[in-house]
Amino acid sequence: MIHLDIQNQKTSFSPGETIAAKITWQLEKSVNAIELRLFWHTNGKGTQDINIVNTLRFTQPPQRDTRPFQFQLPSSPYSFSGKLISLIWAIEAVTDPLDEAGRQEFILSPTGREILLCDTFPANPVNG
Amino acid sequence: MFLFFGVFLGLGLILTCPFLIHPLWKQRAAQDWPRMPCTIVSSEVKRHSGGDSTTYGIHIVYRYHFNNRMFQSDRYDFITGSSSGFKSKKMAVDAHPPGSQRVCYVNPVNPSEAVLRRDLHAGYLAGIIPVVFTVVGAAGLFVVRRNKLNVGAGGSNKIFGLGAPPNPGSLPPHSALPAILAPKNSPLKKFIFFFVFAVIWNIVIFIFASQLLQGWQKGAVDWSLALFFIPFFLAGIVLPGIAFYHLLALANPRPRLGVSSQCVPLGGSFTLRWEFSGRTSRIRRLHIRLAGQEEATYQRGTSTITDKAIFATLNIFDTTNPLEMTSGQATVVVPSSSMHSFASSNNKIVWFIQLHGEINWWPDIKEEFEIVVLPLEAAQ
Repeated sequence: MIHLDIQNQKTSFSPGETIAAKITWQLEKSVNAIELRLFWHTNGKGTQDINIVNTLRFTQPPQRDTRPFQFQLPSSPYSFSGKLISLIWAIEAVTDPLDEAGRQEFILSPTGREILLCDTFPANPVNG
Repeated sequence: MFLFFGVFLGLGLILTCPFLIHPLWKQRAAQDWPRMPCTIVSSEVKRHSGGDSTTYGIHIVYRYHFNNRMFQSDRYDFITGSSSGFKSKKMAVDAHPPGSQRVCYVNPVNPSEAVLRRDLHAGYLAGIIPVVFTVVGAAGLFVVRRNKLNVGAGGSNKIFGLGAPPNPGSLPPHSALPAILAPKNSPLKKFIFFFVFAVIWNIVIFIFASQLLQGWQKGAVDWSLALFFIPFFLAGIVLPGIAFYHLLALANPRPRLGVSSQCVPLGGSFTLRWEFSGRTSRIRRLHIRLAGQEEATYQRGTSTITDKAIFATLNIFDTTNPLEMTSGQATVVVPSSSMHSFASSNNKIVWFIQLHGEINWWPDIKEEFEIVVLPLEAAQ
């Protein structure tokens, strides 16, 4: 079992903010390492794209432990959801060799909410 | 582009001579050649196999006397080469059985030259094909040259006092410098795409049509196959029409757009300036807007497909007054609550300026110019 807890149960972060969390694991057998990944991926009609932004690695971990960690978030891309594409941010922990994994999604956005691509904006030009 | 259209023009001119001009010139000259009796020596339809198709040629050998000398010729008419269509050739051959007496027309200047048929018939129409190549090549060269002259005259270079339009590929990804925008797909690119596509499509269709025709001539028509190919034949008719549509669009007034900054943050603003070269009086309505679009690319079978969906539109300029169309400017504010430009391997968020000029009885001007919208954090 691997469990990820973001500090204060926070689910939304501003660009550039630090995400603080702790990882708790209880494994049935020893593993070489546990890797933490900060990444985003796309969902929707297009072929999925995944980009791992940062990683942390605990080598030769005990079978049971809890450790805090933090990642500095980049300025973009924002979490968004549209008619064809969604972009989701998450932190993920996987064992090496791959046996168990845990994952926690969050939103990266300056507004605190996922950007919804469904608005049509009114005309507002200033003609010169 | 000069090379592309130059090749068309060159090929067209080279092939027009042997396939149209020379045959027609000889046909006209043969009207004055004296009529002489001749004896058919042999007659057959010659088959020429090449790849998947077979063409046929009339081969009739005949002897005649002129100025007390005997000559032999195998010229039936003045058409160059062979073509598909067996039945008409077979009929011509059957009408000239070996040993029969017929009439030929002899060149009095060069009596070794004679012809059995000197009238103008439908077979000469094939010679028009190289003319189409010539016309497309010449029209393309004319338009490319005209556009170059317009740019050279300095029209767009006045926008923001810039020099020649920059190569979009050479721009730094987040430059805040003023720039002249390059269209995503120029009218010339659209024309070339559809023209090449139409040519390839119709070559393939022609091969299938020849097969069907051969079956029909032999009395064995595969109707299910014929019905199956009807939509493909229709597409073969429509595609050259689309290519022609884009050829006409090449004669439209050409817009040039300049922006005060190549990238603008969410919530930020930029100044857009535009001007046209060519006759803007033809434009009935000019509409410029900023649009945000999702682009999702995926595989379906062996095809790669990109679906697009516009999620935001902002009207920038809309007029029916011709005096306001030639040039102008507007300040554009990018909505702060929207999504910035984004590009991964298969998924994109793209922002672009859409320019639509409506023209009566002529293809409209429809061009798109991409801009980069930055995230708030990066801008700060």
